[in-house]
Amino acid sequence: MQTPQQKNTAGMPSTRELELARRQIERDGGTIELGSEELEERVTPRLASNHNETFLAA
Amino acid sequence: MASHAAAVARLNRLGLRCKAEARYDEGRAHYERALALLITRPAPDLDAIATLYHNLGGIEHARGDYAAAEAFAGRGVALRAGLEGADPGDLAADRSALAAILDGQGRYDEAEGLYREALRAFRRDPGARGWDIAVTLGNLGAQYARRGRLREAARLLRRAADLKAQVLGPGDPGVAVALNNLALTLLRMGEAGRAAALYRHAIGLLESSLGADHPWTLTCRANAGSALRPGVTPP
Repeated sequence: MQTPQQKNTAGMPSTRELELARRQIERDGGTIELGSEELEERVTPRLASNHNETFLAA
Repeated sequence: MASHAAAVARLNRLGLRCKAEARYDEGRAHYERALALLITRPAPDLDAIATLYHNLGGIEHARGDYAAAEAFAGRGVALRAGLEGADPGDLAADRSALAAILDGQGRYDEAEGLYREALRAFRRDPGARGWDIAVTLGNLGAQYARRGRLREAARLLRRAADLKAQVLGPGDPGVAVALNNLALTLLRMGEAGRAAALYRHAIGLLESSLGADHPWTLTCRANAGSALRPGVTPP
């Protein structure tokens, strides 16, 4: 599988968001410990997305 | 120890389930944990991050916080649109999801443009994108119903219901969404008997799949009140 390559920075996480994410992981107690092999892993299995259904109300 | 990728996938699945069960705060927390794991990677998987923004937008759409939903969903679109090699069907799904959020704010023309753009992309691969096509047709039909374009709305909603039943199975709650919206449209067209029959069908599906207390079940029951009241004769 080919990893999509970045063309621009639109929508990219900011430095502040990166810092907040690190704090989040610390708050979670570092539940995910990464081995060196996993650090090399770049592609997450394809994630499912949801649909936004319009549900009409009278 | 769960691998990083497996943890992200699991958190995403939990988020999807929480949204379906209307547990929005919990779902958002799962998505945010997954996002934190992804964005702190040395080489973040931007395609997966775009999907999580899409899903975070979905949680807020379901909750009715359209401003928050638009911020997340817009970011997902921008991120995936900037990726060389991204799946055009995934980008179309991002745009269709954003359109539903704009719809919720009454921004109908913007939403319709995105729905139509998404449908063109989905139809290039209809075998893989049947569910996406059905949801997008259904949402466009619901928009037309809101705008008073009732005949067009009924036609699209019927197609959405049929396609969902074909792709997802006749007992899926997604079918009930289309039936609820079609029933409301028919009621406005003066076809109370047909509307009553569709409401009964939709309520049965929602109660058996999502439960009697789910927000969709409660809304469908409230919608049905006027169609099912004494004096209205079903066909």
